[in-house]
Amino acid sequence: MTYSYSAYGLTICSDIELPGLVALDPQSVEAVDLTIVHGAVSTTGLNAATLVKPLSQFDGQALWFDVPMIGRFLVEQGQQVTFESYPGVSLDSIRVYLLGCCLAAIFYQKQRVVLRGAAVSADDKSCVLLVGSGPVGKSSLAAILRKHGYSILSDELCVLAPDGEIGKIVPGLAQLKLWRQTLKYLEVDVDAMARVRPEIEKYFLPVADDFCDSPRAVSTVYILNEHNLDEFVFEEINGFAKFQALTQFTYMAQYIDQLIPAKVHMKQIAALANKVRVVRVSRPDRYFELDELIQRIERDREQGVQSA
Amino acid sequence: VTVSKVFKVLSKQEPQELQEQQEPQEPKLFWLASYPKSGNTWTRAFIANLLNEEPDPVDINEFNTGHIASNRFWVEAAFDFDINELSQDEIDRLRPLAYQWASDEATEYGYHKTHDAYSYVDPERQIAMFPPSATAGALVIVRNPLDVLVSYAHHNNATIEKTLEHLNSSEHAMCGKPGRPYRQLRQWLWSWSEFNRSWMQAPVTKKIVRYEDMKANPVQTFTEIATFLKLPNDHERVSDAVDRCRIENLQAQEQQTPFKEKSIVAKSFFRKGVVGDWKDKLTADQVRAILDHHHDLMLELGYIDENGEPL
Repeated sequence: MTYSYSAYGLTICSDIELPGLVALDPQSVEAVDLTIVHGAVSTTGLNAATLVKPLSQFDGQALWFDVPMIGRFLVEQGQQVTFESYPGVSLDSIRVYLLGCCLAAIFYQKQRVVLRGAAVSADDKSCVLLVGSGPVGKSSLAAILRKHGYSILSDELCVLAPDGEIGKIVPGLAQLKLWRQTLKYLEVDVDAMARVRPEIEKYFLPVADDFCDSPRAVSTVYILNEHNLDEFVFEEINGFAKFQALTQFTYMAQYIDQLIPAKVHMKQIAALANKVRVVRVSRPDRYFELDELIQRIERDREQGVQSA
Repeated sequence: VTVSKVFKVLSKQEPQELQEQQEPQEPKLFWLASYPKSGNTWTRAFIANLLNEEPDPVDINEFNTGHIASNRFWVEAAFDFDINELSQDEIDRLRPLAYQWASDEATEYGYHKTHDAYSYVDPERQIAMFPPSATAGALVIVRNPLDVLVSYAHHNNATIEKTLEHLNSSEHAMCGKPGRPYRQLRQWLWSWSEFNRSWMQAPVTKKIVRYEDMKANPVQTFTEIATFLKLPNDHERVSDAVDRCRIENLQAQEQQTPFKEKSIVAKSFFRKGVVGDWKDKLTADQVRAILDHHHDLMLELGYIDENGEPL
């Protein structure tokens, strides 16, 4: 049995269920953009690998990787992901990789750039992109902004729209992935939530009621940063530094030049940089200082809209 | 243990092609291993200044001698999949591969701070988190736990009693709570004795230095450190580097520019750096709790006499 879904503007046919994606009637599917196959994946990698790392290989077109005790994955042609799971592994663990780096690799093979972050929208035209290195509260901030009336456009993978829609992000999945501590802060009953994987205390928060289902133009990119000072600092970035800053938040940047030419990546990032405000936000290095951050971001957004 | 062997153990496979492609490499990673507040940053300041050819001291935020071992991005760089949704135990099992890969890719030596105890991610197969095949050497920096206690409490803005629990606990870890993310990977420190013993017994080339000797005889001790770390060790350069990273200079810099490694809850990172500060700060019961718990290693390292009295 195969399952059909829509996500990130793709029609996906999968050998396994993918909860959280919009299900399609298989009979109505005419063209498939991505096929997910549960099948044999080489234990040794690619036949003509051009780059070999401890648990991954590239051959200029395909990506092969092996996550110990979870599964092996092969991403090819921008069209197909094949996975083989290790005995006893939960499908939840497999899905994390299918809908994370495999999907990102598919987009790169399709010559489209993916940023790591969360995108939220306060109106029917634009969105705000929250990026940052490592766990700096991107998804948490998106969840809190949702409580302030924003809708969720995407979390984790923020996929740039195709050429015709420069500067837009396509809708992702109608869910946020949040750690237990964030859910407690949001006063959500953690025990009623589904875990992302059995091994970690991270959960899916469904956001279908506040989901933004069409592409949105990015108005502002907030680069979230933590520092060990007791103050909030908002610093607008201009010129070439905008391009440099956005480049830094490319999802799995090591895929660049392996799955997508660097100049294609550069061109798309430059096009985005030309259209958006980029603001670096440094906040005290405490896990939750988010309410004040929200107020300041809203104030900054208003100022940004006025000056635009 | 080569990458291929670690790979084989971790994934239960025999990657023939990888084995064929991997040539033995000279290990490139030096570990600067210490319990917190034992002189690790001072050592990195020394290395940075020793290698610096500019006339001014190196900026305290620009030591850049090498990534800390628990740097999430450094470990992730070895892999082409996301490690953010792996458990801390799962990430620990990947770390030997990451360090081996980093060593194999390196063209020059790196000097990497670590507060991780020397542990085995697979004790049965003796797979060490810090593979001997990637390890050029381990500089183990030890400091009297009585002074560590005072300084570590200050660093965390915690009470002496709470910090005492850490120093005496086999479960002590940093960034270890499971329900939230951290910028750094989990680091198992264990107790003060267990941490230092683990590195002193590690099957790698190592040198053990005492913070107290770095303070008392800086040029001599840092010359030995430079020699061990395969760094320039001539008297003039070592003396100059030692002078540039005197505690007063580091403090003066921190007053001008916040140090990025300072905890947000601490007033400053470079506090006193003196030997014997504990005498004015600890109660007799607190001293006794340390002596009782760490007697053997304190005796071995010369922090107490044969009667168990602090020296």
